[in-house]
Amino acid sequence: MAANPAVLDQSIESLEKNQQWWWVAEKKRSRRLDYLRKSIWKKGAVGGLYNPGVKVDLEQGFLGMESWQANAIFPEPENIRLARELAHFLDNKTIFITDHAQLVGYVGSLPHTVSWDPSLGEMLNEEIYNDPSAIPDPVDENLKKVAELCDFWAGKTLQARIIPAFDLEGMMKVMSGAIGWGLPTSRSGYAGKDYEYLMTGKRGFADILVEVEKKLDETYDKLHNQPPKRDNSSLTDKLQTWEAMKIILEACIRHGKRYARLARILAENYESDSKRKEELVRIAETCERVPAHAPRNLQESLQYDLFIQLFSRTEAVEGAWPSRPDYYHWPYYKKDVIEDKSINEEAAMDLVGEFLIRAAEVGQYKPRWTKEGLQGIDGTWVWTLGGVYPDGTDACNDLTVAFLRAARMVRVANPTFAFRWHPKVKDEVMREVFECIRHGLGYPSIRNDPLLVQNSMHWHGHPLEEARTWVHQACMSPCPTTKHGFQPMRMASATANCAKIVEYVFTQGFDKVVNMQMTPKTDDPRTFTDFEQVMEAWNVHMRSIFGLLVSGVNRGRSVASRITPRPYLSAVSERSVESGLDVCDPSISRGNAWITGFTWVENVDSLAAVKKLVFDEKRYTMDELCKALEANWEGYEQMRLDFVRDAPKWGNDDDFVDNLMVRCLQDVAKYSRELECPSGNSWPLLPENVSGNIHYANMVGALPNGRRLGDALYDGGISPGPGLDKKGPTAVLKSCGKIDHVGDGRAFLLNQRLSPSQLAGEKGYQLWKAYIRTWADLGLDHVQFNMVSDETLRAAQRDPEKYQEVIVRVAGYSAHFVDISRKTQDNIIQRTIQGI
Amino acid sequence: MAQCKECRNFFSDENQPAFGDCIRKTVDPRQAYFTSKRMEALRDTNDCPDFSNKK
Ligand code: SF4
Repeated sequence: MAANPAVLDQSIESLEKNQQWWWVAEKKRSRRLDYLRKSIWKKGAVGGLYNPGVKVDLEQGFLGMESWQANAIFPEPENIRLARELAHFLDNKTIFITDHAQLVGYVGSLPHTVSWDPSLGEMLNEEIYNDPSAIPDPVDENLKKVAELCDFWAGKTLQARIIPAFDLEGMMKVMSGAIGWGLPTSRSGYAGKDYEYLMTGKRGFADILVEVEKKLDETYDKLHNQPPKRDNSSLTDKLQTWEAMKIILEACIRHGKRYARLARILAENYESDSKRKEELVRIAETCERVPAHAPRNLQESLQYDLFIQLFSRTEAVEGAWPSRPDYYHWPYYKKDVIEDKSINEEAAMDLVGEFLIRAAEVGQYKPRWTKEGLQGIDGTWVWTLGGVYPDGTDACNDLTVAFLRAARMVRVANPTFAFRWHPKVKDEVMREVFECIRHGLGYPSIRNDPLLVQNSMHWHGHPLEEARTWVHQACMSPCPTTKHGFQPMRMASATANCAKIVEYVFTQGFDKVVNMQMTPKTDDPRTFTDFEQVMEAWNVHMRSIFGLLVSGVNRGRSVASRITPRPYLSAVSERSVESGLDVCDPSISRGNAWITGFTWVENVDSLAAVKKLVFDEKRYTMDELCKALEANWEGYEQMRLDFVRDAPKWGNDDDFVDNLMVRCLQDVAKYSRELECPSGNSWPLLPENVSGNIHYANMVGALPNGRRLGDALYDGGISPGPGLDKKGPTAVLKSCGKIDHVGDGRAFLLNQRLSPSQLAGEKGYQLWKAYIRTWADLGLDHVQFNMVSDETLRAAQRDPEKYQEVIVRVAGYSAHFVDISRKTQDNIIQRTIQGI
Repeated sequence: MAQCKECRNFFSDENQPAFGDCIRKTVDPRQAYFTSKRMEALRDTNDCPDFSNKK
């Protein structure tokens, strides 16, 4: 691809001076990285549709169909059937190697495709059939193929098998889309990984196979050569689980070797350039080594990690990418770059940058609610950097710095980073973190490591050393990477549209948008004479909504081993290899569940408005308020403005509203202890939003904070409403500091916009560092920054082609500004720029 | 009737002689890449526009 014409005639110095970092990156990165960066087919949807040219992949559906038909004669248990299906796909799918690439592997068959596994669900399949923009050319012919796949898989999908396992009434409420989203299955969501088992250089897949085969032999012997015992039935189940692991592990190794073979064929028959020939031979050697065996160098280690992720995405639709790359790849970087000097820093930068690019190009066809909720990205891939070793010593290293620098070079919006800050982080690392923020990436977000380690121990009882291994399981929630600590599936269905809690106080639990009684019918709010009655009703709806979502996910998790097993994920998890139980079996997991709280702060601002204007000052009656809300504030504009302007708002260090925030969170925290996950652990709340504030705009009715149906909701977590934090950044931090970030919930997202001109130069860094010190002193667990001026964002709205690499923080994730809807763009511009 | 094994793009698999890999180069609007697709050596090439005889 040609260089951006806007960049060609400008010097790096002048671009840096103007803080046009996206064009600086284009000029500074290597030729290879520039080619690979521009070669990405963006897989994030905009306005619910994929970018032009991105097409759905049909190979997995047809190969899956072949496998199903072959299995139909002698049906096998689901885990073995699925393992065979995945193996058949990995053995036969089209694979490719991109020019200049050193790392290989993709979820689909071609670079411009999003993968599609039609065995997952009829609803998704129907959506694809009705999405003509995603059907590959020639459209008529391929539409027939899509129809053939939809017909074949109808009634055989995971969705068809799992829905009867749920309580129908609860399921209908969740599936209405008003209070939550998604179907709770283990093959869709956010899968943690047992990195301590996989990524510590002790084993590759062939080594795990040896362990599995030993288990198979021992169990076979017990079943066939020894007197029958009462646990023989469970031994048969285990035998099948290990058998499924064996099938998939062997297939993964063969898949690696397919790339090795392709690279060798290219080196020997197609490539004339000697340098590229060498690279292709290195790719071949790498894929002959991994995933079969433990890596020996940085390239093998990154390739191994990539394979681990891609296989998991072949088995499931994954919306997250829990990872800690600077920690697990560090021994190889150290050996190659620092000790052996087998590669230099530039060569390592090419590998690290490409690793980000390979992740950025991944795309799996997602249902409408995900495409709308995650504008511009395929999933929330928040990679974890920094932090500490299990003994508490600083884990930051040169590779942490290399990842931060690589991010500034390739400027992808997915993955993003979150940095585990702790008091021992060296200044040079903090400067690199700040440079990413100053360059407008919107990441890394900053996480308070000591506090979150404590939080993991408090809520889920993870032992200290395990808690210290934590990675982001999705956008925000920490999860250990250990045998019993990692969570195989966090089902996105436990994501609550929290604004409904306060809405239902006024509708007595009846949802007018979906026309359904969602929660218990509480008393008529017109009869309330005391604010405590409002809070009582609020608690009823909060408990009911959270209870509904948790029940669904608990059920999904409980039946997962049987109905929706994960043979691949089991095969790479020590606890499953050891026990012969599917990785989703709750008995071998400690539990790390959480409820994601979308649209949370609307509750607090609404309750504060009711308390002040109705009960304290008696300017309006509950009857008048109910009428105004029923009318969506139409005909009540002056009253609406009073509720907007005269009620205290969260984020201004005002105890009136801040105390309500703490009270609501504490009510939830109490209930979180009553809620149990299938492993017997608790369900704390985690307020954050992705782009749910836009997705739910037409779902949430009028609220007492003055919001009307259709208005964008707040940008989420515990961030104040856009433009409502009028007292400056310290007041925001002080409000947030009133929350106990250990005991009141699992984590709390805070968005802040800072001024790029104020934070220029050394002075800017020192200001930001002082801000972070205050943030840490006040005991906050998270903060993330947008540092792109209104001027640039407006220019990008006018001329998107020129600003392709401008990135903004949306909520728990970043996106390229040009890839999000106009409504979300405006919402970001509306956020207050804080001078610090 | 020609078969894949006779095609220049076909690389037979020594371990499984009945199969091989069909290797092709594609240049799309964003990138150039080589694909590999598993093929039966005896597959009929009639429907393939990219058949190119080895000889
Ligand atoms: S499929 Fe076509 S291009 Fe490939 S080997 Fe057969 S004839 Fe050749």
